[in-house]
Amino acid sequence: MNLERHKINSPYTVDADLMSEIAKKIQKQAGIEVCEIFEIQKPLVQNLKKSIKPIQLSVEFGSSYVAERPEDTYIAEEILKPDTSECTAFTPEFSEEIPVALQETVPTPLPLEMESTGRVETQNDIVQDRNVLDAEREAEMAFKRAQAAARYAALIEESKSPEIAISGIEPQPKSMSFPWTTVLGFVISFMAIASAWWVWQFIQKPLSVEQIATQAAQQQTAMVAPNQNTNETTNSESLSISDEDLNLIESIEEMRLWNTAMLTVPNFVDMDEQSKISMVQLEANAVHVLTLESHIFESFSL
Amino acid sequence: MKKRILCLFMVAQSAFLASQSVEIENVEKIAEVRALRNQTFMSQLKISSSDSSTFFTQYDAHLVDLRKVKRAFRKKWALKALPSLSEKEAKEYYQDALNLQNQEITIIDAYIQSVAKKWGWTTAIQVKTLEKEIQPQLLKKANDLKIQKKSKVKKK
Repeated sequence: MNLERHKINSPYTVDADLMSEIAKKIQKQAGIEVCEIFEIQKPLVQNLKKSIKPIQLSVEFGSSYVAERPEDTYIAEEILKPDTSECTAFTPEFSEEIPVALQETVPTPLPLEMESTGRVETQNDIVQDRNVLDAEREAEMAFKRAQAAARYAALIEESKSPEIAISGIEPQPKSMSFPWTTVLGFVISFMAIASAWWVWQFIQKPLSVEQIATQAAQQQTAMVAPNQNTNETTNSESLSISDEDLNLIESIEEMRLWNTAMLTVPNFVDMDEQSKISMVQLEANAVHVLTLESHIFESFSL
Repeated sequence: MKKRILCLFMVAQSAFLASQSVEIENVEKIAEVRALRNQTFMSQLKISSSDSSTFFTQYDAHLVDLRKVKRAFRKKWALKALPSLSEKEAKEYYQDALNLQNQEITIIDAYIQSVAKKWGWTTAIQVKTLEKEIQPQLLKKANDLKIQKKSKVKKK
């Protein structure tokens, strides 16, 4: 609602009515035909804007600029300067001199409303003030129009840009860096597989005593075999015998060879899988006893 | 869901029954091997059938004692290689091996003494030799029967 415009449209003006009343009184006392001396004219309101269908250009929180005419949608480069052209309002002319005959009867004019400055306003001053107000208003409107146009232009530019900068969030630079997440994923998966394998090994049935002894015997056969050979050679070399003893020894050797051929006791380590299982089961059921221990002494035999 | 549970139960039950059947078969096979051993002993040592139960009861008992002391030694030293033993461990190993030998001699001596008392020394001194002689035969028999694992038969 334009209050200034409302004031302009109002036909009532204090000063004009007062002067017209004074004039009428004077005319009556003078015996002159009473007529309106001051013609009350509606002052021209420049730049009267016709209401047309507004075009809404932008919507912002708190304020919105609505162009009232298509010409206002352009982007203003400069802030429009206020129109300081003189108003062509009607300024009634009257002489300050009052006729002598009416001086006595002319009532003293009522004091006008004094401004804070103490200056008494005249009609010209009022009109000038109005013009100044209009100019200021126009300038303010032009400034606001320019601001809105600038904001609209910024919005247009943002919509054209491929990326919209979000306040508070810095865009991440696209750079080729080492894929730490991929490597971490591989490491974690490998650890999971290793832990699963360890758990699987841990819950496996433990080796039986015989199996463990077999493994230990396999480790010791290598060191046992060469020792036996050296012992045999040293024993044979150290003997100094006669012919009778030699015959006896040969007979004993024959018997031993015959016995060994008859015994044919295979070494447990050299047995096949089924034989090992069979021997283990026979010992478990007290049918036979294995000789797996690495005796420092020769096994007891009769 | 019920069908799946039922299927799992049936599979578990069949596995259990299969293991039981293996156990039963193993028991029978070992009994055959034992019978071969006993028959060989009786024929070689000339032991009568009336004395066979007593003889083999003593024989099996001394085998159990031997097995016990051997297993104790194996359990302690099976996983340790001789070159990797420290001075203290090597000394301990020697002591244990010596003790094992002494224990075996003690057990065998006690058994031979008991056999000699009833069947004479001629029979007694042949037992351990015959034991070694029949081992290949027993092994061959057991392999032919294909004895499976996990057959711990509790002797009555």
